[in-house]
Amino acid sequence: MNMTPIQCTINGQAREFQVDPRTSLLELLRSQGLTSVKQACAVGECGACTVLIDGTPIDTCIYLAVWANGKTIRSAEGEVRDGVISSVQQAYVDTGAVQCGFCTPGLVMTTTALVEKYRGQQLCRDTIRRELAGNLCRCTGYEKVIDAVLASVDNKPGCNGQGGCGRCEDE
Amino acid sequence: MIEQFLKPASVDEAIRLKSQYKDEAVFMAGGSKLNATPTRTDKKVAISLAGLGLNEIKEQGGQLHIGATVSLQQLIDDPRTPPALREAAGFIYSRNVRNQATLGGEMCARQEEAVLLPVLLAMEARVVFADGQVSELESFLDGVRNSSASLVIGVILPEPDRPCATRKIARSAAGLTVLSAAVALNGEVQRIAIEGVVPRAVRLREVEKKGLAEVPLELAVSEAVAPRDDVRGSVAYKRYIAGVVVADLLADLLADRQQMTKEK
Repeated sequence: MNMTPIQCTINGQAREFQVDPRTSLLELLRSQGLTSVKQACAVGECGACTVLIDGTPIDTCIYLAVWANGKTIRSAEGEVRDGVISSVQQAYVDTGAVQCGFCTPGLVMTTTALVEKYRGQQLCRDTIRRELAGNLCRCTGYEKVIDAVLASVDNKPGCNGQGGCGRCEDE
Repeated sequence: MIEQFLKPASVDEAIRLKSQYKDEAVFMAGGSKLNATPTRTDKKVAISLAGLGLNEIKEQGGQLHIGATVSLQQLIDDPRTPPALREAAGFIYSRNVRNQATLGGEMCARQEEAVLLPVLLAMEARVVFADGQVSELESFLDGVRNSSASLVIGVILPEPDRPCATRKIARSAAGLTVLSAAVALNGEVQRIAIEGVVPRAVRLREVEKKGLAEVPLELAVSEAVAPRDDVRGSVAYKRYIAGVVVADLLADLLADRQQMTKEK
């Protein structure tokens, strides 16, 4: 087997790996202890393994680890800064959008991308549904998830309430 | 099982690698099918198409040239994409998958569900190969040129402004597709394409020639398709719904045309 060297940034840290070409990014991330990245359908249908790659939500189960060379990867673990969960994660807690929790890390990452994309814009529930298509949840019925997204937008995306992120108008 | 992942920097190099490894190698773009468990490739060598610059959409001489590695989400986001093709890309419900899946992959995968193909067939898309040859999409789907040997580098839509409408029938957005169909109008001439109720996506040329509408069109389409009885529905249901969908698509196009004429 030809091992391939890759360099990437995972949750803000520069990392180097030698990867087997058939290894999925899902397997690589979980082997590094990032267990928020869930293995479920393995066909790119459910979104439980979603991370952001250069800001784009990607199903890591169908994404080869070798493709991560030179990329910036964000998982749910990295959204916690200094022990404080992100505004998106907090919105999921506040609105009761978490039940069994298996799909939540993937939904949180897709929501994070969505909130960053639509920063400063009004979002309707239909737009949110379309943007979250690809992240399946069998518990919540999605209504609370949509509430969480709306709450995330209201909370000034990216701000954890502690200041310092530079995204708030009053900072 | 992939043992080597090769990253050519040019189309020529990709072709050379394919000639070198022959049937042991597969061209790989987004990997949404080749990396997915049920359709995972058994080839030993993956030849990446990522570095070949095939991810652009260009207008040239009134035609739309779409690179083979343009992602489905890129198609949706690009204002030059014809509305029907944009809608068809959205039939693949998962945004995450659309971020990875490519137009070329959708054509070359020859999967049972091929929801983009009816629109491409109705718009008489042409397939561009690495050696410069261009073939009608229908000939390509007939297997006249096999994509495993000759690299598809893009698609040409000769008339991107041609009125076209498409629809997918499934029990839910994420459910199995019963069928997808598209109708386009080239002046008064109909172009009708369908998949899901035929062995592979096809133009219904015999039906097109008759120039029918409404109930006669429904009946002609119902007779022309060859569905199978399966979990998606019975043969009778599939024949019925195929006819209704095609007739409705044509009615929608004609209504749009009438509206535009009034506004002028």
